[in-house]
Amino acid sequence: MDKVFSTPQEAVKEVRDGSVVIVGGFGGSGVPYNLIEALLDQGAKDLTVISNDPMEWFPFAEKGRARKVISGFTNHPVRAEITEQVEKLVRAGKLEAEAVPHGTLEERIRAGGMGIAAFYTLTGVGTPVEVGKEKRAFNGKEYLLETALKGDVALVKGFQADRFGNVVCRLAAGNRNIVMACAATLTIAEVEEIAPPGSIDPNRVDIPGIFVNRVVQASKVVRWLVRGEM
Amino acid sequence: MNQGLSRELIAVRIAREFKDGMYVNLGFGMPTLVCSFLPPDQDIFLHSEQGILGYGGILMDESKWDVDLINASGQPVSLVPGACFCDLATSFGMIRGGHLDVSVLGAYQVSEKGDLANWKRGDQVVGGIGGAMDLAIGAKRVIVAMEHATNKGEPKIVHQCSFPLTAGGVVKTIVTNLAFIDVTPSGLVLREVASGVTAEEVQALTEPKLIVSNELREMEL
Repeated sequence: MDKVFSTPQEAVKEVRDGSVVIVGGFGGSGVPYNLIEALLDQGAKDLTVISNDPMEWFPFAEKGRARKVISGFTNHPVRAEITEQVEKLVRAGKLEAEAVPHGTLEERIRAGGMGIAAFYTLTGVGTPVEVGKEKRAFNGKEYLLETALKGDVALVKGFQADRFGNVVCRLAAGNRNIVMACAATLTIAEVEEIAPPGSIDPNRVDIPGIFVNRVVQASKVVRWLVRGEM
Repeated sequence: MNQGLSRELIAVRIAREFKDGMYVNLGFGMPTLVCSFLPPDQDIFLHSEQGILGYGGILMDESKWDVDLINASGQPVSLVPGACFCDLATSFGMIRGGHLDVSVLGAYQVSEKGDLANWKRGDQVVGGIGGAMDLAIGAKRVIVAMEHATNKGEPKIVHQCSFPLTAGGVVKTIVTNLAFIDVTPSGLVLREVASGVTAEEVQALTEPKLIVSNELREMEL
């Protein structure tokens, strides 16, 4: 078994038009920049991009590759000019933007990966998020039915991986990557280091190899970025 | 009239609500400032959505910045002794599952019933829900930190929110540049005013009728 691919370009080669792409990362931390760049270069279009942050989905929207985004932030929390561009795309019917409460987004993806079709949550009751969804009372409280999400492809970022696909994350950069990796047909992990087989402590594996189909060493590693720069 | 407290002093007042052993989440914007004013002799664990329990202050020293260690507002942070990490589904389980003692959130509007609107203004096509809806329904106590009125002097504490809701009936306390107000079943109780501000001045910038506490006092900072 050897899941290591030589370049990010090789690893994303077969991603097709119309795919649902789940992207890991949070606020600039744990973002698979190399895979995002490779997929933009590869040219797949009509994508549905699922991520929490415009840092991951906006490049696809800006270049006309995304038909739909599903995200906790369908605006840009800091840069008003990006929010304006997104609003323009949405008004012109070029982009569909589904705003999802962040916890619900993660749980829908986790459910997708864990074989759970749907779940009830308090989050979003009495808000625009509940529109069109089933509501049901448990113990005197109303909950919303939220359905699972799955991807054709998941792009995630780790610190180390071995050739079996076991991924170790660094500090808080595991964030969404650990969840996203479970929920796609093809999960690709970019990492800073490829570790020799047997060198990773089994207790330290953040993403078990069964969830990871491909591993690639990142050619560029971002150590810090100003939030405004994507 | 007196403009009341600065953003930093609002944060100072909110930090005084925290007690030893509490788990607290600080939302985007003004709430984040609270992390600089935590009581030093107490163990208060700051939770951040991306899976940090126990971050310290925001790091000013650029040489220590690490993109793998930021808070939910994207700021580089330190860790306190006893900190731990988890994945994001677990992190939101902590929020949604009722494990957080306090969530401090910013707001566009709060209603007299404690409804919260803080993710999208009425005229916007897209918006940023982020973790706000989960935090609003999940934390044991939601404290709102905000300016008392808009730049145009319109009340942000209103009978009914005109902006899309984040959650209904969740806000327990509102701390602004002018006042400390508790949301109670009988209405909004004005407990404290900022130095140099009167209850009448607070009322003039608040849409619902305030119940002035018998023990109304000046905010201690």
